[in-house]
Amino acid sequence: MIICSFLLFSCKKDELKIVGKTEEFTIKSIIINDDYPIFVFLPPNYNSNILNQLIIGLDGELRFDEIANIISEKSENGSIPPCIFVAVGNSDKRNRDYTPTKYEHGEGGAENYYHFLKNELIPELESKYSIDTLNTKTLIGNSFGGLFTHFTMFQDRIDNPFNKFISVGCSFWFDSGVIFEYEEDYTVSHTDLHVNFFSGMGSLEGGVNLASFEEMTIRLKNRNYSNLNINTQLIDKHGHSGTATIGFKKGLDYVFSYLKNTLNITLVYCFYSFCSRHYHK
Amino acid sequence: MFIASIASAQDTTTNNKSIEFGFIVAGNEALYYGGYGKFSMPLSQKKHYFTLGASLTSYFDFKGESTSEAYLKNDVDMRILPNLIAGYSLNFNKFQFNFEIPIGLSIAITKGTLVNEKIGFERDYSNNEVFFNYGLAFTPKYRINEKNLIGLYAFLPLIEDKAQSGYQFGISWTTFIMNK
Repeated sequence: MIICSFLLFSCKKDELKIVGKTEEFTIKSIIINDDYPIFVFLPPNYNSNILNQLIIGLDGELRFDEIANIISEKSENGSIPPCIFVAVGNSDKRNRDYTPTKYEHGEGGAENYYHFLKNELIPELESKYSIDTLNTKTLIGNSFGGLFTHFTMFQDRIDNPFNKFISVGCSFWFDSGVIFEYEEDYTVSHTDLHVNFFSGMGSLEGGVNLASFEEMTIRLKNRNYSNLNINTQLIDKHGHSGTATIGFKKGLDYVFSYLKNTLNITLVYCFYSFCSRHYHK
Repeated sequence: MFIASIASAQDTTTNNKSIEFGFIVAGNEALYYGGYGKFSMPLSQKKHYFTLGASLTSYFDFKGESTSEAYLKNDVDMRILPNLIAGYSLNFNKFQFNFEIPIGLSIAITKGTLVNEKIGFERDYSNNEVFFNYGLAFTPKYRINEKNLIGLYAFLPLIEDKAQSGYQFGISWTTFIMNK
């Protein structure tokens, strides 16, 4: 009873403090033969007249409020382009869906889950909302979700719907670092990795993850991919759970900073074109 | 003052300084094993009394997330927690209930080498950090004789990230330093 009281006393959950609209629906996956609740957040800068950025978060039931809060704040202060945030639920099946191989705590369903996102969920979202249909989506994951984010980044780029990845506290330990094999396989068949990638790791996450995190960073940087924008950060003073919110914020800042620069250049160009036309008239 | 000092000298001293040792399991995301030592002194000779003390706790993670194919060499993953303690002790016949507020530091030390035979790499890692630590402790004890008590120990950290200083549960043995 004392232990339970102690634990209850220290429990804390993120409250939803967003400006914007939320929706929820369920999608049936034929590929996985399971139902997934989908939590949707349309922030104030979502504009149905233009093609918005799609941000997909994993562990929907656990992370929707937390990430929606961050995006709401960023949307209000203009630090994120017009977007829609979708969190995929059924988090209690994360050991099945987010793990690339069958191993202790994992069932190796990542490939199926990737095809579910690519061939079932994203087309459904594109039919319901105004979303950029190019391969410009963003994927956010923590822990096993971070492992799946890495797994997805190392899938073939030609038909990969994502080009922005945010991984926090990736479970590098899983299957003795099997994710490194996916990284190696990717580099055998590709000469470039054209993505914006943020990876964060808590400084108190233990030796296996700290060392693997550094190894992955060094490996990716040494590949000399010309179009890889990578930012990896050790998040001081935090363990596995505590890194998520900080990492998501830093990650969203980073992966959209390139887009923001591109947008700024585009806006300057549009403004210049507009002024030129009027001047010549 | 003379009368007061004589009166004080004639009081029967019932509360004594004590030393406590315990074995604990600790942590939040990972499981650590360790122990603690604590010195306490009573602030009055009442039946229920306030205490002041100091403690040193240390616990270790001996395995981490290593596997047979990816293991840690020369691994240290530990916390050292020096704390000052203010408390209140409730005494009922053979039972004593102690409520305490430890305040101090948590020193995190993590270092070693990851040897990943499956992928084929070795990578050193090292991280040392110091955090402010505080929380609530509860130690119910049973008096087995005039000088010794055995009990349980629980610590609830009130800092936000429990990886800095985790929950602690354990068993304890307390012995009084009897006044002569």
